[in-house]
Amino acid sequence: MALLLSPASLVWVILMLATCISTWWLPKDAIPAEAAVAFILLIAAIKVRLVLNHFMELARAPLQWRLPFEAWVVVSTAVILGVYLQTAANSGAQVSQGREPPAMTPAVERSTESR
Amino acid sequence: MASISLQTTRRLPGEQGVWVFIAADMAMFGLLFVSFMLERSKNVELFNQSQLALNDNYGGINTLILLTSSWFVALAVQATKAERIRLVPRLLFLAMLCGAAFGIVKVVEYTEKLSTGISMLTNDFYMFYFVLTGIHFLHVIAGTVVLAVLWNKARNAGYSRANMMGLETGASYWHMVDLLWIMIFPLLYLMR
Repeated sequence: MALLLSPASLVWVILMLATCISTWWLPKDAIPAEAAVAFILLIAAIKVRLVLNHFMELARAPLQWRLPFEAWVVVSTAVILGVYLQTAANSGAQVSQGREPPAMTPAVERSTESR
Repeated sequence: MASISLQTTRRLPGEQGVWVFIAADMAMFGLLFVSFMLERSKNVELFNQSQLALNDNYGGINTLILLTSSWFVALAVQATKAERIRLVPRLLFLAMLCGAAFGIVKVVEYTEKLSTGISMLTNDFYMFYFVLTGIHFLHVIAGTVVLAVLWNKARNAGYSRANMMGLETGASYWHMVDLLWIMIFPLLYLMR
């Protein structure tokens, strides 16, 4: 029916595909962890914007409402990605200087599911 | 073909008050995300190691479930605008089923963790895991109740193109629940 062919349905298909890519394809060991995580976070940001602008109709809302939410996406993604990359750089530096990374608490029983 | 709404002025869907709430809620979660990242930076090995016990499939499937529920809710709003009133309760009911499905997966997941001796007291990673997903789960439960209220009114033809403020208000809240999980999932499950 006409309703199913609406823009919301196209947005849903994109969201579902993006989720499958992020969850079951990108985490594979084919590309470096930092690159995979960066892509995953950027994809998440795009998904949030799709929900905000198309499901929540912010694209047609007054700008003084739309802008703070767009800013939330930009700021939270930038901070998360920034801290992540900084942390990865620091861990790499520690290893190359021969310093041990912080000790772990007693071993955690691994899930029987394969990653 | 269904009539199309020609929107010439900008508007927020639903009551403005819910948008204030949405903004505050997202700000709070944003702070939790940053807090998680800062703690992680002090304990990378611990966080990465602990994360291995999480099941990406549960998290991924729950993401797909919530995205689909949001789709049903968005369609319900569009159906109301198109005056296809009989579709509205059916779409809202499907969204409710998705909310219930999310809950079932969550309970299975939590039970698995607890039965292997992992709780929020195990270490900092798991504290964040249980707190972030737990607070979000409470939002899902509340949102499913909201959907039930919307569904009940829709069943009695309570919404129409001229009277849909409550529907759009509830819909906005539910979409927020969806978008929060879109951020929470990669943060906890996929970050290595």
